Amino acid sequence: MTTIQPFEPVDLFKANNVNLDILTENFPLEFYFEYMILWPDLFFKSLEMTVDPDFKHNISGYMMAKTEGKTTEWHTHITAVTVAPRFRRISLASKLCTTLETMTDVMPHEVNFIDLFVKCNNQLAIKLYEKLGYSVYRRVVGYYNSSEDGYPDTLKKVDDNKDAFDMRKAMARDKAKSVRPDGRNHKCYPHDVRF
Amino acid sequence: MSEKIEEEILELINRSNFKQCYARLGQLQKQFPNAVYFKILETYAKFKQSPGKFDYKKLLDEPYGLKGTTITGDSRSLEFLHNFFVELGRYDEALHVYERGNFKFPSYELSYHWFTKALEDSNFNQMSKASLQLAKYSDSGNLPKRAYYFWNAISILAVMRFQESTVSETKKIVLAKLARQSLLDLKPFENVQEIIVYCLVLDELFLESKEISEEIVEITLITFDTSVNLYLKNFILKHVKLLDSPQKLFEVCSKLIEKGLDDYELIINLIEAAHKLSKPQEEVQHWLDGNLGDSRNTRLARLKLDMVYTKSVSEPSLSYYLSKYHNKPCCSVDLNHYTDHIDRDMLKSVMTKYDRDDRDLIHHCNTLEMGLIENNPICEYNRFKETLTKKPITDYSSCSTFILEIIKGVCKETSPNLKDILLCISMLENYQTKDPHNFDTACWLIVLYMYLGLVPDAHFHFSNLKIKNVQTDSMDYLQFARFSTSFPNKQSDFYSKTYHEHNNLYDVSLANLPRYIQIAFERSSYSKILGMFEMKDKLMRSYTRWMKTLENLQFSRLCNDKRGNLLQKMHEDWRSLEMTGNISFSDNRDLSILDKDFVQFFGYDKILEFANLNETSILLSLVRELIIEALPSGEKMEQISEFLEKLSSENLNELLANNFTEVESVSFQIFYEIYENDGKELHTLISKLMKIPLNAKQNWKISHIYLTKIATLKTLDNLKRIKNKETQKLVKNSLKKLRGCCDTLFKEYSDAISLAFEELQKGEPMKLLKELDFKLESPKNIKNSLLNIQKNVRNL
Repeated sequence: MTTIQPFEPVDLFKANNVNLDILTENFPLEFYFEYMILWPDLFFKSLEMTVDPDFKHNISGYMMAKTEGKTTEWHTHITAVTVAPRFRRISLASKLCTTLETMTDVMPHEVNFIDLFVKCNNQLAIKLYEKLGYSVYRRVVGYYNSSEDGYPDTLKKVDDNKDAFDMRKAMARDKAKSVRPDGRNHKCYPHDVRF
Repeated sequence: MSEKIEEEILELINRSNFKQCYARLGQLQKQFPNAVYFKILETYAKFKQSPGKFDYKKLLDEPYGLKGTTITGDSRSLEFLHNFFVELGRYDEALHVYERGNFKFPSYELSYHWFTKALEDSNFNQMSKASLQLAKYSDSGNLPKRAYYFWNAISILAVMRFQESTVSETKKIVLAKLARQSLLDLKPFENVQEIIVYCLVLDELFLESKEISEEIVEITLITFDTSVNLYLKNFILKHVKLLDSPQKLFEVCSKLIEKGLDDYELIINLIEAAHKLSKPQEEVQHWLDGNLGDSRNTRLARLKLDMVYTKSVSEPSLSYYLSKYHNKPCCSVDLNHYTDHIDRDMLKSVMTKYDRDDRDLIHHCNTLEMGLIENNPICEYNRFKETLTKKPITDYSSCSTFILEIIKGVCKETSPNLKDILLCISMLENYQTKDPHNFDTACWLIVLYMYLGLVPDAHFHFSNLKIKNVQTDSMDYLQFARFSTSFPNKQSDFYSKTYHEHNNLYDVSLANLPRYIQIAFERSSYSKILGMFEMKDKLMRSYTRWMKTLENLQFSRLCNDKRGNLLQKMHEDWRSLEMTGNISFSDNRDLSILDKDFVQFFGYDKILEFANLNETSILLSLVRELIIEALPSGEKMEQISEFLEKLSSENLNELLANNFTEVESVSFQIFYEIYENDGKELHTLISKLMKIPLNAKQNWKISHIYLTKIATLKTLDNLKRIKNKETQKLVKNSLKKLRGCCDTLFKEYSDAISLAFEELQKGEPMKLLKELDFKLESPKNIKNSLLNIQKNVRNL
């Protein structure tokens, strides 16, 4: 029983059932505030109406996104989409993505496409996004490199655990410019995906 | 006049080099005879030279106070005056200097500074005044004039939401009308953020009425033709319901759902409206399916449709939901909500249909959580433990439910015994290796180690949770509630790394918040600003923040460290709280992570007693530190009397007994006795402290009692005010005696742990562990951890 609600700053105190997940990043407060200030509409949560609101954990997941780029590259970028263990396997992440699409396909955003980055070896997530209409646009070599790995110096060396797929879903106005069937063969450096 | 001059003067003041300070100021005043700034600096120097003799009325109030004769528009002078007044606890005067300066020397810059200072001080009344001043400057700032009317409306909303008691009823009406009218004059609104502010004004500043609701519905509905905004969704839904028009409600909900919003709140309102409009149930169902497709919400909508149309859930609807969700973790949460409307036998039979052999772990857990079957956690775990080996490492297993049920059964008890806790630790340690990312079990493991006072072990698991940034405020209670008397080791990661890193939330992020809120105003991100104020407020008065500050002061006393900077910081933090006009603390701790019904684990001799804090216990700890600070001077502090007055509606000893552990309570009485009665009963109280048995409990209280005694005695030992030789001797002897029994105390505890392990190896507990395929933890690890604590404690 999910309602979609704006994410408020104090929700950060109530989201431990989501954020204690080892794969969910906990950003500095300033980073969350930056998203709330620059893209106030695009930070929202799924709230469970069946959970007693006095019980802190009625947030089942949330979406953090932003808009960026110029002209044909104007798009929505999904920064974080995450769901609490109790509410997994019920397509909640998909629902959050669909809501984002509903919101940014219209005014004032009217983006050309939505994109996100996913580790090349995260088959489960890739499948989920493909089901939602996303496809691989390019491979970002060394996107998840640690400081020890350093910045990639070649596009020839690929590593599924360090590289990201830049996956995109084109809106109607994009006229499929952000879709390419051979996206996995297109490689780029991390600096190429900065807008 | 450079910043260097101010630094130079303040440095001289800090070094109490007043002669040189006045000479330098005299020189500067000769050089700049019209500069008010140096006069203010001189006044400040006089205050710092002898605060007790400082003639506030003559030197500060008469020239610069509320009815002061000297008005300045110089921004540096204003800022210095502001901070000076704040230091003296004169919060009204602090911002009033800006108001008066602005009146005499009006300028955009001055109004802007006034607004910024008011924002930093969370003084929403002053923000509202300053924003109206800003609006007077026709587009002279970075923003168009209209923006400042929105700043003003938000400031008024903040006054009403957070500081309502500061304005009279008449003023409330005036402010509401002012906010509404000034926004109406700006119509048409230029973007969604502006509409949100206008809706907030109507919604929060005016009484509910048909007129208000109609206006909100009208202004918001049209926006959904071209955009989708969640704040506006909430406004329209709330107010269309208040209009009591099913037709309109149906129209609004259907329009929003057609936009693609799969939102249960919209769905249930649409169903209720459709029913009132006598639309057939089937038609509504088809409409929902057609617009939203197959989703959890649309399947649950079938249950809601049944309830609205026929008052009870039908089997086809239940089957439709369960066929897809019987083995999803959300199932029991969803259906338990409708328990009163679902026939239990039907529920049981439909559930069985989807997993006849009861082989699916999540399905099984759902039937348990819906109370459809009897529970035997040991058998259940054994039945499903194989699934733990097959699951991906990042998945969470529902097997933790069975283990935690056993653990919580033990932990519910008052004074759970050592053997049982060690058994629980063994179970959880074993479980954690099979389900390493499960944070429910990890949190309980931390609680169990903390209960035994084994902080290094607890810290190992705490570190694995990678708690950081804003999360620390709600989760650090697991480790940092009474940390100075748990493991006061400056070199450990626990203190040197984690504690300090986590404090960045308050020292850096909280300090940054006013700047971020200011940016939110400037970027017109109006919808989030009230929430940001709430966040700032909750962090400022956070239980965790204050407990850490107070524990750190005790830690410094324990280590004979200088406390000057810590005390100064505490006073500054307190003043920021005080200036909001609301002296209270905010419990942001996430206790629900341990259990829905977490209250049962708190209280005297309960498993979470180490983290049992409340508003009173924090205030009492603050009073304790203030008293200790005041003791050397022998003077009474007004602030302490105010707090004690606020607290002592009942007998002080009773208050202490209800909110502190016994040793904390006696420790408080000792300092209070010196403060209030010059230590007449000090001898008796020290004896009382020493009589508290160190080893009455075999848990965290061993370190806690020992260390609280040591901290108290060391503080007394450093107090020059205690002149009585006999008392001095008693303090020194007590310290010697206490230190003398440290090793024995910890050795006895270590032996008790060994004995408990030996007992565990025999009989039922071992059988239980074997049955679960678990191994008993090694006593060596736990004893090493205890030895680590002992080594650290004995050096204090």
